[in-house]
Amino acid sequence: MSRHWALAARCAALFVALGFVAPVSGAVPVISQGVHLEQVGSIPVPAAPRAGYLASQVTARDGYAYISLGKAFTIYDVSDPAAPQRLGSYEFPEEIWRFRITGSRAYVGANFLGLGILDISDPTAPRLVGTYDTLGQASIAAGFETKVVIIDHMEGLVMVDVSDEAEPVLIGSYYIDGYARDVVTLGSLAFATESPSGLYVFDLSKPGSPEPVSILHAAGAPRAIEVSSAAGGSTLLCGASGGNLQVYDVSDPLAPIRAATFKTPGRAEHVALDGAVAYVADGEAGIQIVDLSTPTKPRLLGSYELARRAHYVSFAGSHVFVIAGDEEDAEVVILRRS
Amino acid sequence: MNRVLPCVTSGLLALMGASALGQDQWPQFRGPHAGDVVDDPALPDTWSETENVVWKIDVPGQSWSSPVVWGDHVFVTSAVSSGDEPAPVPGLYEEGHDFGAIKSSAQHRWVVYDVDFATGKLNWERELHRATPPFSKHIKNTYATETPVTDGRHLYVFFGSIGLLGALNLSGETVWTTKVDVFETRWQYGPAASPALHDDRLYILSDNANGTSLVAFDTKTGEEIWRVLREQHGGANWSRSWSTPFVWENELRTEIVTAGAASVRSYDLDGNLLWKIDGMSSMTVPTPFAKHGLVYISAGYPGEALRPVYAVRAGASGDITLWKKGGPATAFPGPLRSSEHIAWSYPLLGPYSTSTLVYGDYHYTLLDRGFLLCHDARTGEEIYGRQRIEIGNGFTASPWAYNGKIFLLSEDGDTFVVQAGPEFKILGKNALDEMSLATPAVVRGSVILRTQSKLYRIARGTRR
Repeated sequence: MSRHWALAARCAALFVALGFVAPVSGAVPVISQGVHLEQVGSIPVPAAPRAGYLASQVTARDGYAYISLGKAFTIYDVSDPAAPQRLGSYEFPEEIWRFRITGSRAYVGANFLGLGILDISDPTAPRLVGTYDTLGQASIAAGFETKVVIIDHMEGLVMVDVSDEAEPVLIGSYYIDGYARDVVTLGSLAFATESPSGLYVFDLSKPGSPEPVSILHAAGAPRAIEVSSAAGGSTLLCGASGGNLQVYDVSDPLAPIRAATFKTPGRAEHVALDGAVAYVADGEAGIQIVDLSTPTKPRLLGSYELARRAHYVSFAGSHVFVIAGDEEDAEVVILRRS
Repeated sequence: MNRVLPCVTSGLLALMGASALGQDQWPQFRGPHAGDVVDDPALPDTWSETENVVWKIDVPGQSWSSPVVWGDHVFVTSAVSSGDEPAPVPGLYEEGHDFGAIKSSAQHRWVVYDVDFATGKLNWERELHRATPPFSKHIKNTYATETPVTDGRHLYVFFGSIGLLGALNLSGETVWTTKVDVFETRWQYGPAASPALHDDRLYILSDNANGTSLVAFDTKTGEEIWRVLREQHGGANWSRSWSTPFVWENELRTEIVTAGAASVRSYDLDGNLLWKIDGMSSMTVPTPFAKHGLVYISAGYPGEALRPVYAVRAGASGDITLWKKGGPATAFPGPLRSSEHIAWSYPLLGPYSTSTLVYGDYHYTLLDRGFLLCHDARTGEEIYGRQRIEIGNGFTASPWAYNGKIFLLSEDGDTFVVQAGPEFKILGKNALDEMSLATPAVVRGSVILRTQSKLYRIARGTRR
């Protein structure tokens, strides 16, 4: 684990200048305002392809880390992050773009296979329980009750009923202009994004074919998005685009707004949201932590440098998971936050 | 309808003859009128793999070049591999780790076929080169995607992937060949722009990873006459176009219109820049064409904030840029705008691969994921907005029209027949059940249609 102290020192100086306490000393990197990160473990992965394309992903939940790389979806026990244990894996016939997890299911965008529904209730033996073949390349999917929405390059947003997971039934689709990129759900709301500019909001509780309840066009829409409820009843949506952090306030789903475009020190590639705190995989600049409590004025809280380029970030409980590396060699870095 | 072919003695007269006689000949990509075919009641509206098929033949290798027709000659090109090549993938394909680039290690033969128009029998086959392709190509591209062009005396063939420009006589004998610089293309997609023929010159636009050039060649000798090394703002990263140059004979002058990535540029016949438009899609494929005194230019990479269609008046000079860099970040197709030299433009209307069509008073845009739109060709006013053709069916071949109908050939090999005019109505669907990206030729009552492995002559009243 190699760390770049020069930038950390610069960050520390910045925090001091901003009036924060910056307890950067000794072997403990970062941070400020009560956020403290330190590496506690890692999982080697053979490659970390470019973010936004067919990419490796890590998502953690309840002591497990779910990692996709190429065609493989693999589950690790990370209850002891210092000693991750590989449990089980499922090999798709097509490359995995990305996935989202709802309960005991992983909804996988499996390229030309379409939607793949994995039962992950037994982490030692993830099992494909259903597929739905969209008409183009499926890149990600997300669930709400018995509905799953899929992002497909030819169709846009495709909605299927998975009451019978073995035989998903098409409900309808909505064409999304440009390149449809991502979809994420929060309650009954689904947020979909496209390049170059569109953010689409759908209410999945409504019957029938998907129709957006609102559409926002703003330059530099992110390829990958995350959504989170923040204090005060607001709802934030974030993503990385053009190396910047893009912040949306979607508290009113009928009238989403682009709250801010925030230039991070590096090149933002992916974002994870915890309430009003964004963890940004910031390329060469490692992990940046950004306060979004005032969405129109993002504020850098601190950073954590990595030896290698940070591509993807997620968190679960007290741990942050980062894919760092390059197309030849990479690892999932496990950080403890306190 | 077999008319007596005119005997012409010059390339200019030959092309003019082809133009004056309508679709007796089909000398180039999209024919003499950019897909607008002279009406002919003998032309078919319906077909299948067996219905209205005069003949169909297997064509070896992989190629998406269009057939061209002169007299009894139907010319097609191909790159024939000695190995197994991966099949192309239909639909809007987003690349994986390698941008979709495929490198073949098998030896290829670059071949021209002359097929008899009446019978479908092979008149001759000429191998022009044999080698392992020096560069990769996109999985949807081929090593022989450029459409040849003919003036009735010679067939001019360009294989950009190996840098070979050549002239054959109609008996298949090589008149000359010229080596052209070969460059890696951006993201290893491989080249595709076809040569443009005007008078005694061939024009080749080469946008590649090293830069961009427009080169004029002598049709009689293959010698280079002039070369313009173009600068693209944004550098070599922006040298991403697969668009064929268009020689525009307008009421004021003759000029060469090139649709490049980032910029449209028009040159006089000596290669001097006349005007430019900054503001294109970063990947530009459609070929410009002219109607109603306007030249229509488009580009539409789906992920781009600027995917414009421009209708430009004759006589422009200097920088006539309309849209600011980065586009307006608005809903499709964006606002209609005009200027002194641009009759109309939309910032997001442009198609990815298909060229647009002007038929009668209307401008038709066929979007890659299966939508047709119609606008007033002179003013750009919307006649109808996005009309769905068929979900999931992608389009790369450019549309054509005759007898009051628009024809839209999908990548799945389905030709949708749409009523021309202000009301959108799908009249039928003709399926050939094989991937199709090449724009057909339409000549003497027949549609010459190329699928992935076959060449069809389709005409009324025949059944196989």
